[in-house]
Amino acid sequence: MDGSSGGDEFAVGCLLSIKTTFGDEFEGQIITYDRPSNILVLQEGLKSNPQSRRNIRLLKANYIKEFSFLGQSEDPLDLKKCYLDLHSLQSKEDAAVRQAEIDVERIGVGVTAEAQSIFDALSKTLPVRWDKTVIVVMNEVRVSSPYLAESVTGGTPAANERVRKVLELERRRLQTRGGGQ
Amino acid sequence: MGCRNGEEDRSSSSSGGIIVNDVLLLTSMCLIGLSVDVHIKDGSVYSGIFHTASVHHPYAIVLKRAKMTKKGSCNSNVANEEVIRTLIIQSEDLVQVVAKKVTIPADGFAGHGTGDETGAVACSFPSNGISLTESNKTMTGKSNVGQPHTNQTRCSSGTENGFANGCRPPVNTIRSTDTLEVKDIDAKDSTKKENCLKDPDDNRKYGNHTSSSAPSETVTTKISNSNPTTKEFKLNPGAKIFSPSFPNKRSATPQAMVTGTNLVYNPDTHPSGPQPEVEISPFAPRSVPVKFVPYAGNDVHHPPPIVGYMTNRSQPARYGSYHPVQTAPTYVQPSSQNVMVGRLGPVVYVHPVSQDMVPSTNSFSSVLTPHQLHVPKHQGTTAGQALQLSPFVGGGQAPPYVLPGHIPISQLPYPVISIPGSNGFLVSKFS
Repeated sequence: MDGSSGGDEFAVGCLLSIKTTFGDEFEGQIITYDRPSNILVLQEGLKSNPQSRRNIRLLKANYIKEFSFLGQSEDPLDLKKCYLDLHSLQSKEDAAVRQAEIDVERIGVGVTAEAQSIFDALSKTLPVRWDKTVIVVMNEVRVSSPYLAESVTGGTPAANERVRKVLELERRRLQTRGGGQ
Repeated sequence: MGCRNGEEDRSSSSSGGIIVNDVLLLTSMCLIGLSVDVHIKDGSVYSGIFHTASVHHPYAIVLKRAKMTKKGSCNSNVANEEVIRTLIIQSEDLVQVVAKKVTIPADGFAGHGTGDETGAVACSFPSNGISLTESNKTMTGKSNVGQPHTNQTRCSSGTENGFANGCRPPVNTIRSTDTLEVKDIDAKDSTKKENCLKDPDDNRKYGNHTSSSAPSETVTTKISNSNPTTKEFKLNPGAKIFSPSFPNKRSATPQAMVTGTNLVYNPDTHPSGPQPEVEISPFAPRSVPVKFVPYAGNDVHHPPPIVGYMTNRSQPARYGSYHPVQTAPTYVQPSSQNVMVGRLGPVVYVHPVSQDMVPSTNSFSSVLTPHQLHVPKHQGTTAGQALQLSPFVGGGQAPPYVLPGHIPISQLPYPVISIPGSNGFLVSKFS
């Protein structure tokens, strides 16, 4: 930080190459250093275009193992020109959380890759969800490991039959695709 | 130089304790809603959506939907593959936060579309204003019962959210939220928004001082709004599931119906997954458009052309009236052609069937069967009928047979339906 707060602090604008105690190594420019929390804020990868998106790191300074000074450049941020839009932040987070939800629901926990691909395939034509490692189709038919036609249980005979068919088809498709690759 | 401002900030805005500097605050806020990797003291890495941060002295952060992406040296209370709804990472555990592709909105920055409308909310960091601090106070007053630190830990669903960095006892970490203002809740999205916003607000207030009072006002109102919701959730911590409808939310029944019928009839239609979503309604409309067969038809009505047909919606009435009149031969015929007589409760599902299909008696009868299955409720009465119907249908195809076939069938239903009157009627009629 500036001279005002002491010499042991990091100067804003410095380009540093940093090695952390965890073995990470990276280069970045100091955006700020917050003394009370001992956090160093760095940005990476803006040499090409300062306007572009950058990677930001908040790094606890006490985890820096070593660093070397690469140079000095201008202040990375002009706070007077910065502004935030709460609405967009809000919606951004909201969207992110939704997306995360969707993604999470689609991913089976503790299942094989094959099971997941079967799930994905089934989901194209039928509403599916995971119940642990069991694929639940249309909320009534259950497909459990090893996800063969024989492992389809429950539901009305018609639904059950339908799921079997789709499952077989998808399996076949997956196989051919796998073979093709 | 943001730092200088930050410096002053810290010293001046003592109301909330020590506050991180403006730039850190700004960058933190820029991270909100972004997916970040957080490195923990024990070497593990969690990825999640940056939700908020405590801007008071121990800088801590909260992630949403976090997941461990790299296992550290310590065991934590967080299962490896599990997604943690809300993860609080304490200052002492925090090593590094890495966010990729962050845009820091600044003048001349492209990609900040909403800039204009947000004018009111936008904060310019530099000047230290008191207004914000004030709003800040109000906020704290409301939510925190006057504590300087907002100690609202609403990691509602307690343990689940908690994160213990392996080395520390889980409970501690979870609890240690006093540093954090976690207004978050496992709630539903809408509230979530507000909540998350709120935090930022907080931050903002502490950190920045906007020259104009306007922004602070908006902020305050927001806060007041959001508070109630948060409370609600607090009361209802169980509101764990984020319920906006997603694929799996589809109701089972309709789907089942669809599939059942489809299987029998025309599998082709099936793939159109969307139908099921709407629940029953889709069916009704569909069946309706098909022609309503005039039941009143005369006995010998075997109008081949008639495709569809009857959708009776009123149940009780339906049976009563329907049978006596229709069961009669006339009725039968059409059914043999293509339709099925569903008698689901509310939904009488008469699915338009392509005529091609019709010819085969089998298909028809099989159609009926699924129906029965689907409508367990009615089975008491329905079952009898359905059974009757299927044979009946079979007979229906050949015109000649139809008449005789019907009679017996129609008779059967009566007892079930218990419409003596109709019985008499039909019987007499036919005999």
